[in-house]
Amino acid sequence: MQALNGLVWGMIIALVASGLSLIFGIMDVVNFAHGEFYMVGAYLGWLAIKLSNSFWLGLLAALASVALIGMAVEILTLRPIRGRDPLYTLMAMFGLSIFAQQSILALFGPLAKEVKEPVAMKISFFAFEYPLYRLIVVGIAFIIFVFAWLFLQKTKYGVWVRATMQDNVMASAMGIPVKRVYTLSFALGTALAATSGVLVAPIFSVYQTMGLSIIVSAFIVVVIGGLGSLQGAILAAILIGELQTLSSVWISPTYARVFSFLALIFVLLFRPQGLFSISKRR
Amino acid sequence: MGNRRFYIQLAVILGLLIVAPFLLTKYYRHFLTEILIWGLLAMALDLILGYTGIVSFGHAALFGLGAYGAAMAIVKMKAGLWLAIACGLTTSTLFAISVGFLSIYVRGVYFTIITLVSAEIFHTIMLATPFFGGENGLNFQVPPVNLGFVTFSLLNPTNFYYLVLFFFILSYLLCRRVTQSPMGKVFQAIKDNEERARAVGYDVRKYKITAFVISGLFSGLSGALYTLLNRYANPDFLSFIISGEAVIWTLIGGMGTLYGPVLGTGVVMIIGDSLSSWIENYLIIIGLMFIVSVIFLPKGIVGTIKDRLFLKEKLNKDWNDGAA
Repeated sequence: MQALNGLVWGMIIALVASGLSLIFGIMDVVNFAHGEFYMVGAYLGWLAIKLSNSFWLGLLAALASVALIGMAVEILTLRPIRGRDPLYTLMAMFGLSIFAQQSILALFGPLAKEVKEPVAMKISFFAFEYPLYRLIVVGIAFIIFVFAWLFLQKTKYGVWVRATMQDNVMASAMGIPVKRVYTLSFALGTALAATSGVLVAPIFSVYQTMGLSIIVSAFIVVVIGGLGSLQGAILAAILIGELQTLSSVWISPTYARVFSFLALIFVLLFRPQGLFSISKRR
Repeated sequence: MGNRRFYIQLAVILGLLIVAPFLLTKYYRHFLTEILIWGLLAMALDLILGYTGIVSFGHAALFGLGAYGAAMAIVKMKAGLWLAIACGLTTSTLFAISVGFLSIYVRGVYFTIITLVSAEIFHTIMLATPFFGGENGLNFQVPPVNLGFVTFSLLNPTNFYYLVLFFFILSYLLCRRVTQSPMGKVFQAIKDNEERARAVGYDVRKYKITAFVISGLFSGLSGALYTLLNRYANPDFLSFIISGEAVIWTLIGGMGTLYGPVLGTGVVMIIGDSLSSWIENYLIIIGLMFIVSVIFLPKGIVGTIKDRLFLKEKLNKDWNDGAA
């Protein structure tokens, strides 16, 4: 039971973390506001679900609108400060994070929003029942990862992305529209976070500091998995998800969080390149 | 800048700060005290951000541990004021030493993430542990100041203001001394080019840890003063919002100047305060302001003004040269 919960939670983190990792790998931007895209996605999802009465339509609408917001953010805030010290992008995203949280607070009010599970059925295992929806979440996340992988490996854009990730100057010299790659990758990364936000909405509720509660876990995952590595992020997310939920059987959830933080520090000390990255020139 | 000119400027500002309480209402006296305390935090951060080039996103931990150290000393040990401040400083310095040692192994973005995560660890612990007051934090009575020959109460905001002013000026002079010492020059060399500083023969690790610990000491002082001013310690003191704001204040004011970050703190807080009386969700505008200032004021207020002045002088000089 807890192991399943850990898997679900791990997949949720993985969706957020893979976007974070993508953005870092390609743009060298540590996106502090990533949790906010997750949160905004959940709110827009809640709104769209309410308007359309369909969970899946709402999911798509939220995903698309957050991708557009992501594009706008990239063009308006990140593009002008490209090439400056990473400190500046970090702080711009910090400002964005405050802006997003407060805007959502102003628009939607302080009360948490509830979203009904689109699939109410429960599956019974040997001794206990488990909500089918949570398993569907794992499935959806898995499918998204397969598509993301295919996209990066097989399409023209995927080749562009990987080239930019390796060497943006060279990529640009080869005629790859690096600026467009940046914008699209940022949009893609934020859309992944938004997807995660909508999927998680029926499990937990939607509130304006939900971004904060996941962003630290996502950072841990990205670092443990190796910055910029998609597979690493997914594996590390499942690891951290399991660690947090399983250890909370014996100790309180807050200490379980502390546990995963300590795990991060040890990984950084002994394998700063991440557990799962084989080699990356830097 | 000549030393004499500096001392005249310092004396003028000090004079203004000394008379300020007589000109301000009670609310603004408290507000000014807060600006000085937060300014002290920004100044401490500037030592590593602006002078050594280490990005810390966990200064809330140093601030918060300073606050909790002082508060715990008062609550659990019935400590006096000086002992409480000393406890705050010790806690934050010990923490700074341990995180500083991590900086040996971990660099750049990774170090920034470590500072963030270690701050979150303590944030979580403070939230979850009843011994530290849990979610409610700690409330306490402020002990009076004992100067040996005379004792006065800190419940009087003016007295408190002067206490903070004393520590603030002292810290500023100490920090300035550090940055102008040979050690401070090495800090700047590390910021400019770490590899080169190492190649020239400096023990970069030692200097980085030292910078972080000095910064931690002053951050802890600011935390201790803040908790004494408000008579409570709260887990929010360790939240990463505070870490982020400290960096923003430093950036907006101007890194690597010590007084710039204080100015930045003042400007942001005054804007925030005046907006909050007009608009309910004033933080939306603060967030936007952060983004805009990061994009358009990369050198901060002080840096931009300096550039302007410098440019004008240069243009004048060119003009005169051309005329002659």
